[in-house]
Amino acid sequence: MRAADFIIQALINEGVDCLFGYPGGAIMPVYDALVGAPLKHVLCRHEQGAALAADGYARASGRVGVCLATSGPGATNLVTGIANAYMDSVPVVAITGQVAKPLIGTDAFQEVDVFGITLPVVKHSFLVRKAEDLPRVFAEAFRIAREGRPGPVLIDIPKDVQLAEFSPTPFLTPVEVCEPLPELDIERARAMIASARQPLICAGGGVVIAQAVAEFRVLAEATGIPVVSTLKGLGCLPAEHPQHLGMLGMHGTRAANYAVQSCDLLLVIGARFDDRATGKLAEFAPHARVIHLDADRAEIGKLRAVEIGISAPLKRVLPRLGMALDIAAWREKCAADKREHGFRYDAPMPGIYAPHFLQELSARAAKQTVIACDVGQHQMWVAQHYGFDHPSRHLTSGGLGTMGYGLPAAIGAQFAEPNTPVILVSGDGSFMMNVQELGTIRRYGLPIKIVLFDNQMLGMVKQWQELFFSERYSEVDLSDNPDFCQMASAFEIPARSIALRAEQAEAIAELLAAPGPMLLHVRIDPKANVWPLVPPGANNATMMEGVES
Amino acid sequence: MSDLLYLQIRNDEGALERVLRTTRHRGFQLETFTVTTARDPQFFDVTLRVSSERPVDFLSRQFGKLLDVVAVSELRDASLARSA
Ligand SMILES: Cc1ncc(C[n+]2csc(CCOP(=O)(O)OP(=O)(O)O)c2C)c(N)n1
Repeated sequence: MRAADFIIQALINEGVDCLFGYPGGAIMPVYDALVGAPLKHVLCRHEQGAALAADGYARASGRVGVCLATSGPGATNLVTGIANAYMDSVPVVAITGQVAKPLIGTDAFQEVDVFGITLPVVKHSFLVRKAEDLPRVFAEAFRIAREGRPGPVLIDIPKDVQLAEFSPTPFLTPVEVCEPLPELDIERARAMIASARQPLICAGGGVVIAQAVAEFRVLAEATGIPVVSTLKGLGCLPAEHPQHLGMLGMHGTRAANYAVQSCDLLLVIGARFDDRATGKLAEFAPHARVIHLDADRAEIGKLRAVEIGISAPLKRVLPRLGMALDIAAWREKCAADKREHGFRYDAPMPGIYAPHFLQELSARAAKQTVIACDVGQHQMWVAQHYGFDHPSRHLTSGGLGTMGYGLPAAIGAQFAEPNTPVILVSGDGSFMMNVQELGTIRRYGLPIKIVLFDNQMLGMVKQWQELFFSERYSEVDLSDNPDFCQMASAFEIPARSIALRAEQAEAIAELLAAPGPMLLHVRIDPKANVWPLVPPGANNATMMEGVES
Repeated sequence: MSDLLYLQIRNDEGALERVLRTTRHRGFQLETFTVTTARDPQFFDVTLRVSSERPVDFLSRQFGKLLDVVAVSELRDASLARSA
């Protein structure tokens, strides 16, 4: 059979129902094989959009996301999306066309060494030099992408290989061996938990990646240990759960950061001590012994020395750690901090206060709603003020912090879950980075709702210039923004603009009730900042606070 | 202080590049690097001597994540390694 037809067959066999891509010369045989195939191809309007849509699809569904591009510029345009998936451990398979084998290494038209370019941002990669390798490569690529700590895998396929005729021999991936759990470490961990007086759990994105949210909740409730979350761990416990203290770190809650600084045992589950979460590492959780559970052995002890490190599937380990604890006084102290330092939404201003808007959106949107966001102040406001019920409902670019992530990620999520409401929360800067994907919303009639916070600023950068560069503002002004409502209507997306708090409730109701896509343009105060803020280099107990007028 | 590491690596596309870029990116200077396929053309036997302010364990764990790397060992006794 023709290799290109085999590739489509291999995708179907892997359970792929939808892929995101953009055609071009070196991938034409695969696009030819797509015609009439029982596989949905989503034409994005930029390869970066396709890669980020595959990421959003994977995060929302827990399945492998697939993107497809041609050689040269098509391939280089994928790179940011691949890096985004790498930093957040998202299972993505990226397929690129390559110039024909005899041309490789000759600087042929649209030849780039995408294998070389992506080495630092893939979990693994393949350059397929003969069609006979395709069955093995596709089977391995999907297994590698999803197994252990997931990540992106690149498959680069020269055009002559795509056109080759061959007889595929099926390749069977080795069955995953179920390794015995490290019993000794589990026993030691149990003893350490049992003897702790002020234990704390830190939940990270690894919990949902391991599909262990249910086991996590059982453990948290059995032990009664208070929980803080990283950005990607939000939702491991539902936001309103009494044990949940909120996000830790740079824009974390006071309750969470105080708890970390005073706990005597920190149980870190599927998190990796990112600097935005730890603040000054040397002063992070200074009184705590640490138990670290992570699928990736190399994360254990990488940044913080730990007493016990366990690298085994969370689904099997977490149920082994449950026990009843007598920590009422500590729990009460954490709960009191949470009560005392809760967020306030009563700023007396006629304009719209983004945190309040998000809190109201959260209260009114359906529970299963997926929220995709971009990067900046609005992203942190979403993390702080939208109450997530499950981490798979929160699509946020954590590790790479990719502006332009939100719109394509929302599109990917909508394809993964056609019947689930999907809302994008974006900023006026980020939105423009992949705005071409409004064309994808229009083409497929996706009912995505867009909340666009317009502060006429690159807000997060402005906040840092204000606080840490003596208010010397450099290239953060966006007061010449386009008319976003007109822009939406050019894509046949209904739009509305609001600026007053008095309009908020009704506009949210209209947005949520809209049968198709809608853009809600929300003007906010350019001076608004994200609080609290742990300044860079400080420890997490040093939280700056501002006042909104 | 420098450390000696031995790796067995599958002779796959890009396998040596992955090892070298991991060494650089993770903050290790290469002092010696020897590669041979003499024992079995499907595998590279690699010995590298590296130095860094970071513990060598930091690097060997990252090597352990590379899918082409079949075995990693830290050779603590340098004289022993030389005679091997
Ligand atoms: C691709 C990319 N370029 C630059 C940055 C640096 N950056 C982080 S936040 C930010 C401003 C974002 O502005 P906007 O999307 O309007 O959101 P706001 O902070 O105003 O809510 C910038 C430029 C980035 N994270 N990603």
